[in-house]
Amino acid sequence: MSKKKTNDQSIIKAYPSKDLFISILTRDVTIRDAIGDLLDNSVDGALRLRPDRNYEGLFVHIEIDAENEIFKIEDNCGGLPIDEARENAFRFGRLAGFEGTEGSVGVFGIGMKRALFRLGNNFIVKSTAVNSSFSMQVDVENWKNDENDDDASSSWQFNFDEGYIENRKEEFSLEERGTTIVVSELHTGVLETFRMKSEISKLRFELKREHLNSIDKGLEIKVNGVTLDSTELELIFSKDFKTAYWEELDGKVKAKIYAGISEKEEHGDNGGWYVFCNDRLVIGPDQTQATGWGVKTPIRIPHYHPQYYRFRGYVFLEAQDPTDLPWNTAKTGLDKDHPVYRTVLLKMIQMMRTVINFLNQVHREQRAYRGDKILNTPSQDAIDSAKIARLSKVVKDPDNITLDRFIAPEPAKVGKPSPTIVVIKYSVLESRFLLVKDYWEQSETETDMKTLKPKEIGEMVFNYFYEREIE
Amino acid sequence: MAKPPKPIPSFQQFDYRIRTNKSAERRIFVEVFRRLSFFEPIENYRYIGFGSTTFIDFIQFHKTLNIRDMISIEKNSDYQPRFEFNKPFDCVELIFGESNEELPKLAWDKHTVAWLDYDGVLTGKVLEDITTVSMNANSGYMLIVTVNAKGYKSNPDEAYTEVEVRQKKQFKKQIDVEELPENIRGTNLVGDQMAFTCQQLILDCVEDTLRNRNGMKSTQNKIRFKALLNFIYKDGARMLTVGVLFYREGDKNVVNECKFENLDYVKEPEELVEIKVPVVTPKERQFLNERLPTGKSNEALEIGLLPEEINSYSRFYRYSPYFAEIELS
Repeated sequence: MSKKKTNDQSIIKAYPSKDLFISILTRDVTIRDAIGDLLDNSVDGALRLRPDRNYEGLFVHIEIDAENEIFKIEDNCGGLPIDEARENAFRFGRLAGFEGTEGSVGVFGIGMKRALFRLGNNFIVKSTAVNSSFSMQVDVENWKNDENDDDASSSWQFNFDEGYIENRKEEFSLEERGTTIVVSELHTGVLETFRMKSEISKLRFELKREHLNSIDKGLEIKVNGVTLDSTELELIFSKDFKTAYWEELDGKVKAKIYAGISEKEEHGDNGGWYVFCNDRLVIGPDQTQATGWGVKTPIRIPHYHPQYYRFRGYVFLEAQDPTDLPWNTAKTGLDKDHPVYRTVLLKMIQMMRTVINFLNQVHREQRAYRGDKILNTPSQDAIDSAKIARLSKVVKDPDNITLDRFIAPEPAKVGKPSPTIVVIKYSVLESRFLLVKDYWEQSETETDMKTLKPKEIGEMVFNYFYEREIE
Repeated sequence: MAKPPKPIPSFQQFDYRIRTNKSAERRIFVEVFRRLSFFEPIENYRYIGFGSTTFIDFIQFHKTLNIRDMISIEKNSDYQPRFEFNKPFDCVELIFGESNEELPKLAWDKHTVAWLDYDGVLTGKVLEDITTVSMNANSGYMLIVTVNAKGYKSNPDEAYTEVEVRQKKQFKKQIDVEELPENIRGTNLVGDQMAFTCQQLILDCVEDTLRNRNGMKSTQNKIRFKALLNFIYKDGARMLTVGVLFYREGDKNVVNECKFENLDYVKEPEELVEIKVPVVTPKERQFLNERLPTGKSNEALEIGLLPEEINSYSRFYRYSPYFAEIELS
């Protein structure tokens, strides 16, 4: 290396200082983003291991130990091959021509490093892959201070610990393969955050949302021993409903869209679109124009409103090369002008229209029912009698889905009741009413009829007369 | 040669009741639809229309083309039994509701010709229906839209700029957009210009929708469109008809096989073709027919017909209906 050490006076030094470099790299990274990046790496490993996305048996465990000031993430997702570690994984940024994992999220090759720098001063990475195994430890302060002004390339490197293994003839077993990262000497701000229980819950919630789809596909993600679930990825499951679907699987980007309804609990706040890029939730539940709510063109869609809390739309975009996907560089939002997203959004709007029409019908039906304009509520009844099931379960059966449109029971015809109903309203003395009420309630044999409403009493009185005098 | 008499006597004017030009238009459609058989035998197509109580289009397309899958969307559900009663054939399915709500509910997996024949003017809802069809149409599908394209009136007492502002505002509201395309000025909204403006908006709507749709498709699978029919006519109100054929880029040769260019009313969209069947007596008709389709029809100048009457008769005589009064009891 020393041959580079020349006194060539034509060279102008342009190497970054490590200190500046690290501060720029970590500047706008939140703690949640840092942990998210590390989790992303594990999930990419899972995808490398199981391209069919059946993740049963794979896990990622995150331990946040504020007391001992340690952060740890451990997975059994295949491990990092030593060559990959040596040549690419710890490089800052990707070299031209680098080919990443098909269908992964890593685009720029900085996620893991900036996460480690962001969290603490000391990190250990241990990884066992098919036929290699290594560990490495970095003290960031020491590394920072090791600047070699004459030969910058020699100081921009890390070292494996002694005893690393490569080209082992006998493959490591699947159980042995995996990666463990431990960060210690956590930075003050990080420790403060880790000490707050509410921050840990928030982190758990956000990581869960981001990886809903991988969890749905069987990946076990635990944060401090608590398993993250994928309950938001659900749809109505009943023969009365058919979820709208669309897919385009021929191009560089493969797309699948589902739109329908879910949720029984009144006025939940999970309504909206969930858009995944290579299995990561990029936005959702989204209730803005980014996913079609409140747009005027190409067709008019109402603004999101609590009335639509049951709406569920799921978009899955996958590409071997993550740069083909319509997300912004931070992977936190969508590029609405991307031709792929234009096509997808058009479909989303088309599909959501049919769901919204149905939800409006339910709303109208309820209003008409309360106003005594109709006698029954077939759409509401169909929802009430349906089950809710996991998305992957619902869409697996072609009988549960239809191309482009959501199919639901026809609503009761509002405004044209048949038979026509007359509403009678009259007032009586309360004392007399109570006597009649007592009379009916005592003579009522059905056990579930305990207290009667004035409306019911009125109907009974009318029917009493009708049965005796008219029929 | 007879001089054009003034003013135009009533016999030359349009017959509001029998809507001659619209009737010719329907016959033209039959001729166009036949050529779609290069994509799929026309009898296998589905027809979507607004049949109202008369179902004239349904009767014509069933009888002449044997289309057997027919859907009539009827927004007026108050008289449901009456519409049901007037249904001409069992193969017509009636759907009650706004086209806006009903079109998206349909499955679009079958070759379709849809004629959205609105009574009213171009509105935001009409453009939505056009979008819906354009989102779903596949190769060989056809969409025809008819709207009232009567231009706004200008008041000579009002200053031009005021009129322009008012009319643009009115039109913006009518088609329900935040901004009009920048090339639309007040002059594009008055008189005959309105038809061109509406045609532009309809074609833009189809084009934009397809552009969005095609974002993920390979070149061969991209959906294109061809504006085959661009008609104006007047049986009273000024009407505009725009008919587009959707096709897959890979099916370009099929479009060529259809030889639409052999139909002399199929022009480039820059030209609006006026359907104008002149009112002639049975005797005059006989005289003209004996001299058609060869170029001898100009001999009719001698019996007092005007050159433009002879021209439009020559262009549309094959489609013009014959009306006679009969009494039924």
